[in-house]
Amino acid sequence: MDARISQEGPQRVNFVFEAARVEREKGDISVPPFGKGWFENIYVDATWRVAEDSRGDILVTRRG
Amino acid sequence: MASSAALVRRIRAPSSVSARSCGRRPGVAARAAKYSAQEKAILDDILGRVDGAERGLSMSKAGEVELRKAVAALAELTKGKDTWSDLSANWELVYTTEKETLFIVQNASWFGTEAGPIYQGIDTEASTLKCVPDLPAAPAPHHIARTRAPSPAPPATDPRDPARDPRATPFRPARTAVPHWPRPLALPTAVHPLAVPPAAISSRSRRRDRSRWTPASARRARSG
Repeated sequence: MDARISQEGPQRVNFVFEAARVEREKGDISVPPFGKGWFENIYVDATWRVAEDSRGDILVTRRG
Repeated sequence: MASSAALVRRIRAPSSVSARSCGRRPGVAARAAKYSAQEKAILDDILGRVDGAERGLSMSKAGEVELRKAVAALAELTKGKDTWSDLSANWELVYTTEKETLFIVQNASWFGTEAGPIYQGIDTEASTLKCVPDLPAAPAPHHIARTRAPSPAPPATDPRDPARDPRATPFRPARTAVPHWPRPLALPTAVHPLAVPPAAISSRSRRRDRSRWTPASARRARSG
């Protein structure tokens, strides 16, 4: 899913989904994009990111 | 009909994300000092709570409550600190409470595979975010076991003429026997129809083995 993001303050990021697709051997399938919202980056360092989004979901990610 | 596994291939992180944003940037480590020891201690607590939680699938309700308390405490301490400048990266999901993502993780076997890494690629310069669940093409072993029996032999290009299959190696079971009960007991030789190309059997041995290998016995073995 592809989204456009914009900064709102030091921690908040707004997003709007613009496209979604399933990539397959026999060709991609596009599906309607849906959703917009924001997520708040609570902690970002060289390795870890902790965020909470507009639905109250928590995300913990590791920098690849 | 193509198998469901064939319909799903590896979904790669977009190259624009990988090339420009993946990996640590020089300034990130230096700016990491913006967090205090207390904040890092809470982060360690959070990481300890999500460790082994299968990206959220096996997190208990009580565990999630405690995790949310820790996240709220960290949010209170880090409020107002810049994160945008360090945000560009290809982030791999470690834990989430998001139901849609957990649904993919839990039900990847529907596609004949299992969920691989899930990435969130963020590029602040391009103002883009890409969510990429990686569904490897290799089928999940438990899916195979649940839906169909393992194939006894590699698929031939033409099952009616196994001798044309370049992967086929001619062989003929010579003997099947129970050695010790109550005396050596010979059993009918099971012949796989793909295993004995007729051309590989000499006329002499074909005469000798006619009672064992026939087109009819091959059909029986194939249907059985």
